[in-house]
Formats: sequence, structure tokens, C-alpha cells
Amino acid sequence: MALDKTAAQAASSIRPDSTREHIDLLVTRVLRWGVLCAAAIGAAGFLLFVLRGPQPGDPQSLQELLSLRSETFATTLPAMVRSISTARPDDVMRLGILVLILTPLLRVALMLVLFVLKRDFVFVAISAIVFTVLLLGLTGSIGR
Amino acid sequence: MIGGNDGRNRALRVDSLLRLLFCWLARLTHRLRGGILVVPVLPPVFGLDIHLAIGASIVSIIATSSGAAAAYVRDHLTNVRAAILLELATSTGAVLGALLAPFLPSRALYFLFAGFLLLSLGPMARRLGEKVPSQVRPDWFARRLHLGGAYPDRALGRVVTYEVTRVPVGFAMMFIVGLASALLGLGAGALKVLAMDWGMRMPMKVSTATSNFMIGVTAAAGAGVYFWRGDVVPIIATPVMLGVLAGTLVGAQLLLRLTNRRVRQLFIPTLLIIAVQMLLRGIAVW
Repeated sequence: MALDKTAAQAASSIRPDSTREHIDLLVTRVLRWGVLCAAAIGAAGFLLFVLRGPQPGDPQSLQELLSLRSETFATTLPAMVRSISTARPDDVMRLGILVLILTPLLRVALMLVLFVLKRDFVFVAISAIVFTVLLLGLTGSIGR
Repeated sequence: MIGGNDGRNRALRVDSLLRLLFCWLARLTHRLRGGILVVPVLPPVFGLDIHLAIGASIVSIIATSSGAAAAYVRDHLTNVRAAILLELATSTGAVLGALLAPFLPSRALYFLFAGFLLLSLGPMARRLGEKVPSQVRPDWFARRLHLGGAYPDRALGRVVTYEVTRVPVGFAMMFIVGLASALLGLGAGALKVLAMDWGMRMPMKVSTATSNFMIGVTAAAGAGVYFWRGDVVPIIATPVMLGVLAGTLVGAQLLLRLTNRRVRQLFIPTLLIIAVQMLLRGIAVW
């Protein structure tokens, strides 16, 4: 108990800064919602798959799935957007995964905001570069 | 299009449900941080192309890290400045690793994987005794970027202030760790900790928290490349993601009751077994 108290006091003496607290809270919330969103979309797609089974063009059996080669299902954003409306289980699941991949990107964006608010421009630059690298990876504009 | 109820098709559904269940259990019992168990377990048990298993594993890493991060962010242990600086190295490495992956044959990946796991055993075993490094002189980068910090240590009952040094060493190590992480679909937490604690002389607790903070971002950097390449197969990755997330949400309570030491005692033998198994697959004995 006593230790807990010291630790709590120590914590408050280390970071009195309320912007940081604010951003921390926001980061927590963004991560939680991002994860829940991804899980909800993924679960919906998964349920659709379990109920409706594989659609034409998907692997039809376990054998087919296991003999699947890398790069068979290469996709692009326009193709994904087009197929969302048809609600194929695979595409719904894909969307869930994409949302999950995007959550860390949002987190870096929030860090960038934090450093802008702190006027710490070296770190604004650093987080901007990290953000760009992530964006390049995520948009798939490299390696294409 | 109602899917037929023939047996082939049913096997596929049962398989994906099993995978969900398995990932939930793995996450629950083994404190599966990165994809450390998902990659090795997917190919042998479910007989999948390792490139696709790695795609699923990277997704599981993001699920693990983002799921757990909500709790860890406010721990006052994470060194956010060091994290974002080192993410520069890991995310660049990760994008490169992800681009490189298709050019490596499966067998090479098995070998690399085994080596990588064995490599991360060292720091994990060393971590059994932890101490705060003293008399660390900050180098030019650490002074310039104000990387030093302080954290409340509950065990010591005081605030520990620390300095950071040898930033270029840590940065270079992080680049390699990021590359390997995206190449093999691992969170590589142990090696990130090594880069900070051995490389940059940061306290173990800070290194661990900061490494957890970085894992999700590193994985996301590589995941995008895998995703558009089509190596994240939805019916494989979704059950993995759902299982891991469920494990994170349900497992968090359980983990509080286990001591770190006990978890590591359970974990190290598991890793050894997996490493040997991958090695055997690499030389095609089994």
C-alpha cells in the first residue's frame, strides 16, 4: 500500500504535463476503438463465411487452401472498394484486417500531434518520417 | 450463393474455427506477444505455405500489441521519445523485410526463423535477474534529443532516473530487428529489448515497455506490403486475429496473477522446442 502511494506520487511528479495525459487518453481510446472495430468487422465476415461457405474464386477445400501459393490474392484499394458492396465474406474479413493494420498508423499520427503541441520540432520531423514510411508500406505504393 | 454442404467445404470451415480456438488458447496460455507461436505452429499443423503463415502472423502481432497497448500506454515506463526515434529504424527495416520476403525460399525462412528464436533466448534468460544500470554517460545523440528519463519503480519504491547512450548502436540493431521481424512475422520483442538494454543501456523495465510500444508500429509497416500482395489470406488471418484479440481481452486478468519469472520459465522451453522443430524442417528431416 505504502509503496503504491509512493509510486503514484512519483508518477505525478514525473509528468505533470496535461497535454501528454490528454494524448495518452486519446491514444488509448483510438487503439481500443480501432481494435474493436477490426474485431467486429472481422467477426461479421467470419460469421458470413461459416454460414455461407467459400464463394466462387476462393479456395474451395482445405487441400486448395493448403496448396495456395503466395501472391495469389494480390489486391488493390479500388478492387476492395468495388467488392465491398457485394459483401463477399472474404472481402468483409479483408476490410477488418485493413482496419487493424491502420490502428498503429493512427497512433503515430497522434504522437506527431503531441510533438507539434510541445513545439518539439526535431521530433515532429522524426515522427513525420515514421508516418511517411508507414504510409508508403500501407498504401503499397512501393514494391509495386 | 449458398455454399454447398459437401464435406470438402465443411472441412474448410471447421479448420478456420479450430484455428480461432487454437490462437485464443495460445494467446491465453503462452503470453503470445508477437506471432512467436503462430508462425511455427501454422505451417506444420495446418500445412500452409510459410509466406502465407507469416502474413497471418503479422496480423496477429498487431492484434496482440494494439489490444494490449490500451492498458500499457499509461504506465509511465514507456520512453516515447526513444520509441519514436527507434521506430524510424524498425519501420524502415520492416518495409524492406516485407519486400524481400517473396525472394527467399521457404527453407531459408525456416533456417532464419530457428536462428532468430535461438538468438532471442539469450536476452530472455538474462532477464531473469534485472538491475538498473548505473553511471551511464549519455552520448551526443541522447543529449541532443533528450532521450534520458525517469520512472517510478514500485519494487525499489523510488523514482529511478536514467540516461541513454550508444544511440547509433541501438539504431542499427533496431533496423536489423525490424527487417527480421517483417521477414519472419515475429514481434521480436526480446531482441528489441536487447537493443535498448544492452545496446543503449536503458533499464530493463523501460526497455520492455518501450519495446511493447514499438511492436505494433513495426508490424504495421510490414503488414501493408503483405496485405496488398495478397499474402494475408482472409480465412486464415481473420480467425487468428479474432482468437488473439479474445485471448488478450480474457487473458489479461489471468496474467496479472502469474509472476514474470514463472511465465518465462514456461516460455523458454517452449521456444526451444519450436526452434528445434523449425531447424528439422529446414533440413527436411521432418
